[in-house]
Amino acid sequence: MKKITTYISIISVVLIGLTSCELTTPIDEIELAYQLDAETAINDEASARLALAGAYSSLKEEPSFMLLVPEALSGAVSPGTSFYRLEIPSWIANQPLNLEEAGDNLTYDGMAALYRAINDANWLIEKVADIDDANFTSASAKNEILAEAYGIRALSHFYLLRYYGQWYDTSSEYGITLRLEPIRSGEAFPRNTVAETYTQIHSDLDFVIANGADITGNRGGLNSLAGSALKAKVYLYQGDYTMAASTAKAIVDDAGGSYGLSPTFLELFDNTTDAMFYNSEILFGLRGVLQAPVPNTRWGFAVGYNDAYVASLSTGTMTVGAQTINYDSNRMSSTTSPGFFGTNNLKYTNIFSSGEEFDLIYHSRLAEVYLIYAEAAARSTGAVSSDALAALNAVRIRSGATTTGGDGFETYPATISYDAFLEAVRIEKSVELAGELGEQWFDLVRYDWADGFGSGFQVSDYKSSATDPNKFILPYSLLTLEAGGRIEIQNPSYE
Amino acid sequence: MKFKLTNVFVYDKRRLLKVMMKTFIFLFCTTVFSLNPKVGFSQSAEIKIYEDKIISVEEIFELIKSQTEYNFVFRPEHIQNAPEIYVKKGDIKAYVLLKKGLDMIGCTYDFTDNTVIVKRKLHPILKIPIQDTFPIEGTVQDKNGNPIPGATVFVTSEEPAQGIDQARDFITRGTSTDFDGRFKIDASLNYYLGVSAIGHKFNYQKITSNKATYSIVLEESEDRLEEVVVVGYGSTRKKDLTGSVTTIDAKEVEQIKTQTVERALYGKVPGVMVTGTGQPGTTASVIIRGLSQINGDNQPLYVIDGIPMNINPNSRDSNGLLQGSRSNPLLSINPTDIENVTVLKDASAAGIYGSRAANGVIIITTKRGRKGAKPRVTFSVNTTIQNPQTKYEFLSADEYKEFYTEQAGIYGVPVPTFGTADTDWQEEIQNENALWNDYNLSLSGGSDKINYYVSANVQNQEAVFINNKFKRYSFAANMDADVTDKLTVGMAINYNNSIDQSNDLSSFRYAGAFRPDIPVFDEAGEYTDSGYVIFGNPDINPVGQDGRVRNNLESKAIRTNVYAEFEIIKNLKFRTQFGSNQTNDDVNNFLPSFTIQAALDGLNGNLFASGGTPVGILSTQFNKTKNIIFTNTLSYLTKFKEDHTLNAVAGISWDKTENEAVGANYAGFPDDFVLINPASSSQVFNGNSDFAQKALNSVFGRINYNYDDKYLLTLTGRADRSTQFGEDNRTGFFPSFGLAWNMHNENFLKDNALINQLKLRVSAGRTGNDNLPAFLFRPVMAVESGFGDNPTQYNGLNGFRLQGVSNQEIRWEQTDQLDIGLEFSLFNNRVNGEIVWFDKSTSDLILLTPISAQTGFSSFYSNIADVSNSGWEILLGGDIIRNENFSWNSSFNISFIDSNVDALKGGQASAFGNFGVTEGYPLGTVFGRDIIGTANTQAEIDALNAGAPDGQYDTSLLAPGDFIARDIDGDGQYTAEGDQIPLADGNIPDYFGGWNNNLSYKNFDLSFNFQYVQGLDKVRNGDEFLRSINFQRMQNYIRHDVVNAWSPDNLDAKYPRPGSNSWSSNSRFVSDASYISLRSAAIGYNIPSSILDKFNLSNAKLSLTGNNLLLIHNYDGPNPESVLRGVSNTSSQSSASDGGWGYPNVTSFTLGLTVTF
Repeated sequence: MKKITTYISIISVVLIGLTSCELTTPIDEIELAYQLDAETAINDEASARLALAGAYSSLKEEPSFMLLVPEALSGAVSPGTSFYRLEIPSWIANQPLNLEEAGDNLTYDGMAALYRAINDANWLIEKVADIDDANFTSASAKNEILAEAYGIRALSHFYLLRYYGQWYDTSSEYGITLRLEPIRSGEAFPRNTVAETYTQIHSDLDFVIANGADITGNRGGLNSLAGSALKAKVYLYQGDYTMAASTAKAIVDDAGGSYGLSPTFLELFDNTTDAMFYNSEILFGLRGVLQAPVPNTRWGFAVGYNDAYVASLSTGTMTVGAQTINYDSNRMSSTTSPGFFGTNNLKYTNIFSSGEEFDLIYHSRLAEVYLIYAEAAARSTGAVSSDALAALNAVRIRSGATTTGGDGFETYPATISYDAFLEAVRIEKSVELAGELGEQWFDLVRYDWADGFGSGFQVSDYKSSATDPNKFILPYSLLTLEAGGRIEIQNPSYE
Repeated sequence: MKFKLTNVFVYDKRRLLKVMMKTFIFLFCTTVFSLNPKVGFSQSAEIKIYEDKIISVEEIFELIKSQTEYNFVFRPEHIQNAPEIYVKKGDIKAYVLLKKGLDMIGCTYDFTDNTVIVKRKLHPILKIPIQDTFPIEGTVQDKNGNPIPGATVFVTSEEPAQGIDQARDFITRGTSTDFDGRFKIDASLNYYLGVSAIGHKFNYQKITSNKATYSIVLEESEDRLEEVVVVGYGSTRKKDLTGSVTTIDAKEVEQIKTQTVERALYGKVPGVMVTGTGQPGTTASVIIRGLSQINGDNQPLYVIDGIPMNINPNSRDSNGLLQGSRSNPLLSINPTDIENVTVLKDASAAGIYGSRAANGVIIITTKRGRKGAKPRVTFSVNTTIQNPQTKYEFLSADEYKEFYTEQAGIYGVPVPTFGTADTDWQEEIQNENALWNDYNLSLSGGSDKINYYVSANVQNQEAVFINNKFKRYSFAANMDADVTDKLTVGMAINYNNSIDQSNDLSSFRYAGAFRPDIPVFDEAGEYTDSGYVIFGNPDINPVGQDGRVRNNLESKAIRTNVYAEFEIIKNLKFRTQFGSNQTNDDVNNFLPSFTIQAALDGLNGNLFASGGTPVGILSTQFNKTKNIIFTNTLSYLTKFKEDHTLNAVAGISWDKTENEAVGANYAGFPDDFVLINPASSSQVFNGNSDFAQKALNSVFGRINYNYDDKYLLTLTGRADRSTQFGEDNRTGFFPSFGLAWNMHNENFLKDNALINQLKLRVSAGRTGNDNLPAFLFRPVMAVESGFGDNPTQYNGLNGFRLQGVSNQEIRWEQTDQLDIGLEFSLFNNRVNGEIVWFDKSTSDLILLTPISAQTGFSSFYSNIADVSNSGWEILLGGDIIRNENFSWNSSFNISFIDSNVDALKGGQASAFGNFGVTEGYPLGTVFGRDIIGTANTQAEIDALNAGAPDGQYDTSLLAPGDFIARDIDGDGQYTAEGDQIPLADGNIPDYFGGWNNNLSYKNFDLSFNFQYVQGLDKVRNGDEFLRSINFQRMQNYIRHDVVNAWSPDNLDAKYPRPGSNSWSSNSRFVSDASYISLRSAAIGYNIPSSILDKFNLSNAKLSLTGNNLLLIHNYDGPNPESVLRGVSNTSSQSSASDGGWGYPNVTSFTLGLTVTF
């Protein structure tokens, strides 16, 4: 008996002795499991690329509902199919709602989502800069990663500006807060002016253009060329038509090698094959695949097309001289179809049709650059140059426009007036880019702003409820204003 | 004879002896002493005593000898059993000191020429020399034959009047029993032999012969005040408590047939609300003193043999695998191995567990062997028959056909084709008289140095649904050894293995609603379907669909602990304990390809695109819990200046817990029945995992101070440094105090015959809740993956991104609690009770708090909200009948709790909003329409619409038969924002409690326990009622709902028309969920020893126990208790709605036989 007790005591003491070192770990030395400390997570090329994939994911995932804002404001989506997110009908009615509840607040969540992408980019920018060049396969590799991060930041700031700031007015104080550092607390900062916002966007884009990768087969990342395309677009939004025209012209003129207009319009939207990812026309698009799809909350279940809007584009015509020129031949009809929840937008995968596994969010494609050039060239000179006309017609010819000089889906003639040309470009963009990122809305606002809100071209002529220019942009969510201690000012008419 | 007693026994024995001594001295002074007033001059010599001490008679002689010139003459046998006496520092006269020592043993002295002759005293009354003595010996046992160690045995000349504490007798000599319950003492003829022991009734008998051996059986005492209660890192007597503590013993645990112990608390403990279902092995929710967490499970901290355990670990990852398929952590302890369960409710009692104690603490102590006890083998077998307590009443096949025919007319659709069968689907899916066999074998015993306990248990439980089985194998072993006089070492190991084989049948409500006009099988022998096709699969009947899903959850838990206790100096003990708890769960759920769920999951998981063929899906999950705890404590017990007792404990502990869940899914199996292992699959998808971790370094201490048993003070403090707390708040300090005043020990009540105990106590303090994800204060990046989603996967790379905004200041949720109680015991302890008021205010609750969208996120976790609970707890108990053959002990408790969400400050319970959480209302309150009537004509509706600004009064008011909701804000229409009223809170009854009874008559014992809940409302959730009539699926409906539905012939109906949109939460669906339940009733028969002896058995008992025997209620559904409860579904914020989805409660009858060798 005594032996047993001795054994037990020895075993116990040994057990306790062995385990106590392991057990008595001070709390501060206990490590986080299966998650990376953000401060040290990005430490070589491989980890930087993973973080970059994460940043693209943020851009792809989170702001998906926000892509509906311009579609709704411009009347492209059906008023009847969007009841389940309260703000969407308010956008359709051009009276953007400012929900006070969290949890169902797209205005709030959309802003946070774009800032999330910016924050992801900022962690990359800060951390990659600190990594020794030797940790990269080449010096350019490091810069290319940085360029992509700058590109994500520029794109997100630009989107924020056009949703929440008075982007059309470069003298406005209603820009958006620029966040250029990784976020480590809940602190908020005041809004920057529109001019400051543009300056930062250009500065970031310049880095992309200078250091970004050349465009290759992979258009799922921000490359140098996409940086240029985006820069042209930003100039157009600012009203700097000369710079917009020259930037776009350089891109158009160089087309032909690694990029160019897609041979056919429809192959850009063939969701059954990943060939669309490599289409020569795509400059930058965010990709979704079956196992990592892009969220279907943009169109899918959220909204359907406004049939009247589709009809006005697919059957509309413009009279130029003696010619009655159709806006479209079959671009609208071949990318829409009647569906369960209203008219579907076939540019994105339809979960009810089989075999559609691939998806793109078309952030930048060459056809848009052609049309940016056409408009900017005309506006910067006050006249329609042959290059500008050629750019417009190039997009139409790709979709089957004929040059007979008769009626129908024809190219626009050289006799087209300056005003008719601008209108033709605007309509062409609406048709060509329909259901992609809502570019037609920003065009309406720009055209209205160009001759002063309230005179000449007016948005309300195209979307009857859009009468209040203050409502052309969204409010700052009351929640974010409160949470930020009211350090940001609210947009006019939303207080 | 030498033996070691535990602290408490030593303490008690001394106290007891002291009472005897005092009493004796008092009596002596008034009687004997006054008869012998001769005080010789020399006897008055002052003897100096240099310190307070306890000395023997022999030492008294030595002391006097050393300071005077006296010699002593005495017979050693006279002083052989003399008790020691307590002397105070100072001067004492020699004769006083001598009397003090000698009076105890019935001796006196003569004093001549410096010689003291010690001799037998004369009998004070008879005036004859006190009798000569003869030795006797014997054993003291309880009625089960267990030896009672440490019992006080004494011999007295006067018949004891009452219990020993009230004795006013001469005690001649005393001793204590050893660990085998044996004693030896000198007795005298016609004297009395008295025995008293803690927890037992006092027993005495007259010594009428020279019989040398005695076998004394003590009955268990109802005097709960002497109970020893574990209070965390130590124990104390119930009477010395300053806080709210309730103990449930093994006998009460046995009354509820359960796989896990928390269900045994039904109605037993004031302030504790238990709700559960009859699903084998699942957790019941235990809410102590109201809900104090908005996010979190509101469950107490369980401490099993010193190892703390959270039921629901909180991970940072929101994908929620840990919230999904997991076994009940309490399955790691088998109820048959439990000695007792202690519930710590107030801040003073629970405070020793600091940052984890805000929801109260439940301490579970397992059975151990006794030193000096002979080996005992106990075998028990229990057979239980189970049936659902309630089922639903659906329309019969004929009524069903009539209903659909009528509805087809209203909807203008063709009358459906009906089948000819009349199938009761509830019957088809029920496993009638589900059997539950339970075999238990235990061995316990000990030598004088070692004690041991070993038990093994096998259980085989069928559930009340077909093809559901729960098997369990458990094994427990522990031992303690006194290695030396000062060193004790012990260990325990506990292994539990449970296998839960189930299918998807879990509610009579859902499966029972399948169309009754078709049989289970068609003529070809195939399972029938309703004719409806969903996502490519036919809607097969429940027997063939949910009944053929195969879910398997196997859990293995190993709990071990090792300790060593060393007495450094007298009364100062060091204890070190290492404990570990490891649980592994293996989950395999197979959805055959023909199920609708498989089709849905396949679509959601992008296994195939729309129009493809559904495939079988196997979901596997492996859960691992690892908990290690290392605790070192120093405890000190001292008595000074006679009246002061100090019991202190201080310690440090390290505690680390990790919970991990790993899941993977497989699809594409060649068949649905055999080739369903992962190797047979063609596709693996959605690999997933979840991880929660926690580590605590703590310092804690408690001081119990007792002055003269009148004034008690407890000071408790704990500092926890935790991985869950932000860098600005790494350490939390949780202080508390408790004060108690034993008024019955005051002079003014001391002699009151009515009052045995009257204790007033007050406690206050702070505890915390730390069940939050770890490292919320640090910015982290992680991969995100999800079912067919994989958000951070981009362009072929599995990337990572930032997971939220960190909060440096994150910390525990803090609960401040005040508790005032009055405990009493009256009429010779026949009536006892307590009245307690408490106020619990919880602040710094962690919610998702909005932050500026500039941060990239819409919210982060921060400590902002406040919740409060307050209430009364009343317990009244007593022996209604107490005599030799028949006793009836009854105890009634009632609790009133008010709960309120005081402030949310903009915070949000989850990303989905604040469901059930509204400022100014109890947690869990659901809101809805206030119904003022039913529209009987279209004209009524048109009139309302005409007055509505939107042209529509209410979106669910469309046709006659729809409800009209009250327009509270007067804007002319019903809107969710302005016109909702609180309907029900579902969690907080007006009052609740239990009535518990134990009776015994000769060899029979009987118990019955009621639990009741009063003033609780629930909203019967209308989702599956008559909301929409699906002519494709053609489901059946509950008769009550159909009968009470509006129709042109039934304009005053309680419910709206079938198919109305008005079948959503509203005041008409609120039903009173109060109930009285006979939770358990048991009758036991102890086979008499005359029979036992023939079979060489020491004990045998037959018992019949019933659970959930009677349910009295006025609820619209069949069972007001209906709740959804899974392992992770204990937070109860949604208990206010009853959709009928809960697993039914079970009525059971258990026949048991327990035999002890």
